[in-house]
Amino acid sequence: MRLGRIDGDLLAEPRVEIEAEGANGVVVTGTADFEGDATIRSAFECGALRARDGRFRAEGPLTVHGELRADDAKVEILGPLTAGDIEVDRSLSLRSAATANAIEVGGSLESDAALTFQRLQIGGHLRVRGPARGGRVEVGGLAELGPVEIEGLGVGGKASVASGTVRGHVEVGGVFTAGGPFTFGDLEVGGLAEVGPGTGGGVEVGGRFRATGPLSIGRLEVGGVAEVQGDLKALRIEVGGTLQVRGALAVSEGMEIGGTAKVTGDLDAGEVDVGGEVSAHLARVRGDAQIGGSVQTEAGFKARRFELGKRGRATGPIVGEEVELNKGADAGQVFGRVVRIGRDCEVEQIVGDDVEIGDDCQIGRVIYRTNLRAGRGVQFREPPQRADPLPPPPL
Amino acid sequence: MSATTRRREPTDLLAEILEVVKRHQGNARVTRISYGAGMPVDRLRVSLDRLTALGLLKVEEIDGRPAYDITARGQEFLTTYWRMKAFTDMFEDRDRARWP
Repeated sequence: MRLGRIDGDLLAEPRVEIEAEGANGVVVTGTADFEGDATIRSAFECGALRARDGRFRAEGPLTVHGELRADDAKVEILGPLTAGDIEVDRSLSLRSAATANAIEVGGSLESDAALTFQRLQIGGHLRVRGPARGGRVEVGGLAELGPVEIEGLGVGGKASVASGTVRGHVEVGGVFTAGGPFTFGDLEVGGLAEVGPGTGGGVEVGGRFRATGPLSIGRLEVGGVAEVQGDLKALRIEVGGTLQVRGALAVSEGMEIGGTAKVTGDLDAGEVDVGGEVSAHLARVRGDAQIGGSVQTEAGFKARRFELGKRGRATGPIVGEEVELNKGADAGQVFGRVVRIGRDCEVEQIVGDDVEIGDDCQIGRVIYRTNLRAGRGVQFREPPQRADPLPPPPL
Repeated sequence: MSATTRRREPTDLLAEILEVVKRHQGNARVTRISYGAGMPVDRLRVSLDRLTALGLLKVEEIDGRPAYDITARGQEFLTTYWRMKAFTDMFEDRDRARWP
């Protein structure tokens, strides 16, 4: 059927195929209503469009000034699309650039080109190969996006973005990946999150967090394992299991790790509390450092107050205002204004103002300034020395 | 929820239904949920009844038709489900080769 301009509404029969009479395409000033399968082969413009029960296909540019609605229908648009609100029950397939206000699809939306919107809500699957720009995106199942410039993202199952910016909140139930540079407001992922270099606000991941640095974020909270290839800067870090940074780590406030913390570069933090092992090239902690297991550094570990847990092991110099080694701990060099060594410890060298050594310790060398108290059975390889001033610490 | 390759377990299906309902912000209709979750309506109704009975979903009539919404208990289930899935995947160590 060939059409030109219709002033008013169009009611099309099932299996209709429409072509334009002239070069300007088909214009319907009112509502274009399609029942069953329908194919439009040329440019089409209407006040509102309604499709029901079947497949609606537009092969040319489609302009809908009001609402595009498809009840129990699939919609396929090959040409560029401009619409007001779009509501499609089953699936929407876009082959060219599309712009709309609110887009709501019950099943799936697939777009090969740029998609611009104020709000996007998809029940099942969303796939956008071109840039996505606009407001908040909500997807029940799976979202695969290219470059994004959007307000927020909420996905039930799995979400991936190539790169870009989500200005507000990203919330994904299962898995989130951002392959390239990515900037976000804050990120909340139930399972696994993997991001590229960039900046963001808070990050909360239930299971596993991976990143390629450099990465600069606010609070990092991970239930299981956090791994960063490159430098990481954060306001605060809490990891239930393991933190691994292949680069430098800077934490403005505190760092709390249930298991181990491994940093190949330098560690700079406000406070450190690690249940297991800490390793870094050099560690500087402005406040307190509490390590349950072992400490391994090449250039030393400095804190305002340093405490090593029972049977802990320290390799590399330890420097602090106050240093405390609990029962059975081993250390190489210890420098502190106040040094407290628990019983059964082995320490190679202690340099301190006020030094107290527990029973049955084995000490290589002690240099003290004001006070030395040693318990029963302490063995010194060299006789303790008093000195003022004390030798300077390495850090 | 994991893309396509493995068969969905019953718990996976329930989680997927809850996630789809959640996205509709209080106005999730049966037809829309069926398209979103990829389930036939008759099978979906059984799952919806079960989730409602367990207190993970609530239902009210809007414009004469049932509309579903997730409850706080339903959200608690989803949080636990995703965390457990992450640990299970970690134990199975699927991505070890990418991070030597």
